[in-house]
Amino acid sequence: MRGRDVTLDGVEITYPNGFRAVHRTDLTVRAGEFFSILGPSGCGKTTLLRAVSGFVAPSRGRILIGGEDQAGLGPNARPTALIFQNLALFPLMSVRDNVAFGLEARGVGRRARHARADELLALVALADQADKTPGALSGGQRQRVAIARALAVEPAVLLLDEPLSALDLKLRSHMRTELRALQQKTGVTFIYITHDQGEALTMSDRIAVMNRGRIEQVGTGDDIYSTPATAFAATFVGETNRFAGRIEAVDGRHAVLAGAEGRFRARNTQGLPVGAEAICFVRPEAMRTGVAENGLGATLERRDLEGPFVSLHYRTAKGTALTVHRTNLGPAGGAGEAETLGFAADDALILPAGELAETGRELAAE
Amino acid sequence: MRGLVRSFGPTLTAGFVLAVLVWSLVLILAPQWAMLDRALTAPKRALDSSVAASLAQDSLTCISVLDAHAASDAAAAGAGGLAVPSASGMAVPSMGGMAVPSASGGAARPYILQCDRADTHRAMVRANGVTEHLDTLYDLPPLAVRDSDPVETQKATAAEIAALAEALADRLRAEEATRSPYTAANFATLVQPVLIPMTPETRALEDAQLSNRLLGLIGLRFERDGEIHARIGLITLTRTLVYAVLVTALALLLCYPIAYKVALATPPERAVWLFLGLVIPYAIVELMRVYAWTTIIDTNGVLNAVLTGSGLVAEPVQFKRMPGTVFLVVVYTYVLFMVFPIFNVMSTLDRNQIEAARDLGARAWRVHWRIVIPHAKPGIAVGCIATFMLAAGAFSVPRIISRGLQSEWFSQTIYNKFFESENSNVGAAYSFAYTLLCFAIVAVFMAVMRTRLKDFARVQS
Amino acid sequence: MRSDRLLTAYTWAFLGFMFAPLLLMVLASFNDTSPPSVTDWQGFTLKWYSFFWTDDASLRADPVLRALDRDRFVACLGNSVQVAVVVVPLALLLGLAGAVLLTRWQSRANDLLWWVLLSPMLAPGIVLGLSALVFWGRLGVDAGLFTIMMAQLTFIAGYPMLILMARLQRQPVDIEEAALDLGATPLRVFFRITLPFLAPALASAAVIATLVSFENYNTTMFAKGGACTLATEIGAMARNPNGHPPVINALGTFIILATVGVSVAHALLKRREATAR
Repeated sequence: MRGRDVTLDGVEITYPNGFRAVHRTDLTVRAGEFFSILGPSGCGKTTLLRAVSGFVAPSRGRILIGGEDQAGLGPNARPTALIFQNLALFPLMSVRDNVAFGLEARGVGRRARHARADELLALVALADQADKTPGALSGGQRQRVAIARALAVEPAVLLLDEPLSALDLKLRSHMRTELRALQQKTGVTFIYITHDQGEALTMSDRIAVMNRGRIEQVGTGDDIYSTPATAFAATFVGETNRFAGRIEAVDGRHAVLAGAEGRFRARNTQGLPVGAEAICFVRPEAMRTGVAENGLGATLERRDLEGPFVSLHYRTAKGTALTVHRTNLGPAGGAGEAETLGFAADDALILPAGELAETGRELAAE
Repeated sequence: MRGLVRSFGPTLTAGFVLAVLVWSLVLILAPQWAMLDRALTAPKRALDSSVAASLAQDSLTCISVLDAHAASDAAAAGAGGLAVPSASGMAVPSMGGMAVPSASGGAARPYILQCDRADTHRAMVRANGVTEHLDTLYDLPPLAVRDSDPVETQKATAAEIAALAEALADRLRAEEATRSPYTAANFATLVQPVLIPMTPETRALEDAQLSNRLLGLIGLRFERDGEIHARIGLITLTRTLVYAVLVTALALLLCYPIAYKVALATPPERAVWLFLGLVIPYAIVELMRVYAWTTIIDTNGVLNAVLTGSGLVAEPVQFKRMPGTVFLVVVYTYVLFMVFPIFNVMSTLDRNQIEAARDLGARAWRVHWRIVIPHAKPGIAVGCIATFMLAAGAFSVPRIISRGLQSEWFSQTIYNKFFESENSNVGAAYSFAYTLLCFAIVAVFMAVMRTRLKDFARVQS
Repeated sequence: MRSDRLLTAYTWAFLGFMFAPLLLMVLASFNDTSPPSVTDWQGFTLKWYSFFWTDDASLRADPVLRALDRDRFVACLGNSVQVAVVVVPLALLLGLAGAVLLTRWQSRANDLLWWVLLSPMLAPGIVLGLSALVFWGRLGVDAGLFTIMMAQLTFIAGYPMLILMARLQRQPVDIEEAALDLGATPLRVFFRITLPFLAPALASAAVIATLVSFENYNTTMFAKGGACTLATEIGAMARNPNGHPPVINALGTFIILATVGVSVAHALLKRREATAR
């Protein structure tokens, strides 16, 4: 099995009712890459995936797989395999027949296709379940059957539509590891759709953040977490504190933002000019107590123990809520304590004001 | 359609579309169109050209009968010949004894119907008591075969009439072919009043009846020129619809508790058996269920045995003659069509909702009014529609139970128009009007209940 | 809890109302008197049953049975079978096509199609029979078995349609798409995935369509012309104003037994299907 690259060349998808699900998109997924598309529900990511698999025709633009234009090819003629959100296993067939179905459709003989199915079932550690029907398997097992079934047709590109969303938390994190290992073992290009930043960050080589039918940023997990390109990306991926204001001064790679809470110096990756409306983003783990740089006074309101770390919720005199993450090792502070918080300029980022993902964390926890 | 092709491929999709087209066009719509067409064309014999043609036919028959008569007269010397039945079969066999001597007594021939009918002053077929005649309408000379004339003159007149009538018939046929053949007259017969001849005594008795007074109130029965008229077709129609509505209401009352009991008030493992108890009578051939009642309601059936045995009545009751019996058996036959839709919807209700409502202090009636009935509404609507339509179209029950001993249901009227009085144009009009009316009632009911046709699929299984 | 007991009592009374006439009919089938009666008990007999298989000689010897035309009866039963053999498969086919179009065809014409395809199930049965008679008569086809078949098919196809639709709606579109995505042609998807999924519903639809075809009286009566089916023949016998020998009751008992058998089997089948899901 060899992965192939996928290129979206000016792809635009408009529904018959006039709704534009995907705005003009240019994107290249490299061969053999684990690529995630991360975004809230309704952002157009599933539509994009269905366009690649051939269920939806783009209204404009081309989709190339391994350099070949896929226009006019149905889902059954493309070198892709799709894993559905609800898996869509065939309920009346045995697990083996499920896995062998793609080969059956290609006219492979019964013996050969069963042998191949058994091989794949062994790959996903289900060799002993081959004769059961999908209904008799557990959630994680069904998941693996779906993967084996998709791999059986030796796709160059495997498309996964939130396949883990139906699993419970523990199984989900286990399957992440398995999926990643499987991808590396097979070398197939994976395009993985999810609204769960944790999944995207742990598994992917690269991630695209999508919002309202547009891809806002493409990059590695580290890039996206530490240097988000838009306000949406900053708020959708990970938690963040923010201060709104205007750029007051620019010096080299940094800028100073003046707002209701004071002046803050931070990285200016987008090169914003003086006077621009902007927001300064600071990750909770970058906020420190007793740091003079970018300091501001706040009162501790609540302390939530999250296990390995604590979440400290502060409020400033002007009413801005702040969250600070700290390791669980230091002394526990009490509510009502006043504190001076600060952060290093290199740990914070100034981005143009724009749409925020208000419920990013809640969505991810669903 | 693109989605269909993608899911099923062009071949299968074409097959499905073709099948549905055949079903809807050839099996459903075209027959209704044929019915409408039949309903809107005048019966052939009512056409003016047919009247003229039949006049020509009669005149020709008259001539040949006269010829035959003369021949047999010569042969049998006044023994009284047999009239040759005309091709249309309308000739009255003129046996010697039945021959009506003419008033003038001049001619020596028996009464011949066709010769009597060989008269250009022939009445046209017109609705609503309009009288018109062929000669006045189309400017024919007033000619008639008179039995007082010599036979040869009679034959000559008949030939003249035949020639005139044939020419007219040809002309009219040509005109009718270009004119639109459509008329609403067949539908008009449905509302047409008919004179009901009665003696004063029966009239006093009939007038006192509540049903007749009600019919008077809505204008279906009235007095004109001292005689009672009734719109018989409409009366049957109205009565059938009223019965159907009553059947539906009664069935709903009977079935709601049953559906509730089986769907929600019985532990599931026992409900299976109760359910089977409902399925079995539902699945048994409808006619058998109707027929089973004859054992009960016959003059020497079970019911009469009980009644006379207990001394409640001295003489067996003629249940067959009572409209209530047909009504009861219709209820019996179609009541289960109400149970299953309600049951199917009710059983999707989470029993916890009922318990939660009880827990919050709701009394039983409030639980039903606020929780169970709103949930079961689509089932209730579908059940009502099914029962109403079955009752309105009931044919087997009145046919078997009443055995013609009481007033008809409308379905029987349609049957009679079609097969017994051989007036299929009027029958088609009745049938078409009735279907439209029933569908209109259902549409109104659906609008009121806010049900959609799609509920029919939801309610199944 | 008094109301619960009241409800139970009412339920039993209702079942009593449903079953009493049938039980009386069965009882009369064993009574040695004609016309059928349960009040005038003349002794137990099986001769009303034996009418269907006894030899011609003993049939002619019986003063009551002698008057009956067994051959005609058998011919009518044969007609019923012929009609069902044609109507049921065609009804399944049309029903399937209708169900697919109604559930999967996203179109504004969908609502209209609903009305058209469901109208025969709602329309009075007599109307269907008559219109088939008039329509085919116009095309030069005389009333007979063919018009019966067409008239029955018009509305019987609605039953499979509703049943299959309920099942089709439960099949997620994803499953078909998954099979397509794995390289299957639409034709293969249909025969390998969709049809097996529909199989239990098709079986139940076939049973119901057969029952409906056999028992149909209202529509058949109007379309039959000179032909007869089991139902119209029973109707003719039952309408006899002087009563009819209890062979009808015997036949009814047969039918009841068969119905009970089929219903129980159907219920068990459905339960198995439910647990398999």
